[in-house]
Amino acid sequence: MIGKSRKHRNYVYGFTTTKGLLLDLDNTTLKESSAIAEFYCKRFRLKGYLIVRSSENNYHVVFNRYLTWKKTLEYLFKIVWRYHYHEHGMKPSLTYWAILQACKGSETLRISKKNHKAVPKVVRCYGETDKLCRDYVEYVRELND
Amino acid sequence: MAKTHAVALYGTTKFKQLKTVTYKKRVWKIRKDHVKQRYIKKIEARRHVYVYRDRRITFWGSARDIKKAREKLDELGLIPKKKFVDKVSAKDFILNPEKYTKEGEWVDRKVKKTP
Repeated sequence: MIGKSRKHRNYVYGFTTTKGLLLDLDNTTLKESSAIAEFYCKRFRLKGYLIVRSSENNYHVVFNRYLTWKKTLEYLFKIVWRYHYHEHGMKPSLTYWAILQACKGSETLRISKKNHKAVPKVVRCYGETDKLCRDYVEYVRELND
Repeated sequence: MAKTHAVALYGTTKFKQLKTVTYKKRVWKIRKDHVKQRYIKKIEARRHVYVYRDRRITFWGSARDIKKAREKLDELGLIPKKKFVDKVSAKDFILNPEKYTKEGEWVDRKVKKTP
């Protein structure tokens, strides 16, 4: 069953996990997304975070602490509840993303090129980065050769 | 299966599928008054045609295993068997890829949604 081999990869790939909290923040500035990350990092005692720039005004957040899937969903939808009708025009896109992840049973963030967007880049880290953040960076390094 | 982290590969695929296709054919009809007349008849047939579908496969395991699994996928030119193949151990995939995948191509098209 050997098919046609392809050197150029036409698929997109993403980091998937069930053991930690990830956020996909669309249409935000770096300042705003870091404020959100810092607030929830302290509130839920998540110990640290990475902010990754996926494209212009779109950021991903990876929190450091390992959580169960139940706790992950709890925290994720608390954030969604807060920001769905936010006064600064946030974030139905976060809600749609969260619903999709809940349906799928795991959270996924893109770590490759997509259409004309480049590979996501780490722009800020805060606190400890020895657990989920380290895993995320390891997967990104290994797969983006 | 399941380690804690995984990598999901998703995009548009192109493969051959058996489908019922309707096509038009010009055939002769002999009328009662013995005049031959040509008309267009619609005929249904089962054929293998190329179809484009969005598919996703998720490899669970360590980063190194997933990298090997992805290289195997690229090397053999494989696509997922179903629309969502989500619980694939990377080690298991390396040993028997035909269990989860089939022959096809990944096509360069605009990806609209994340999985």
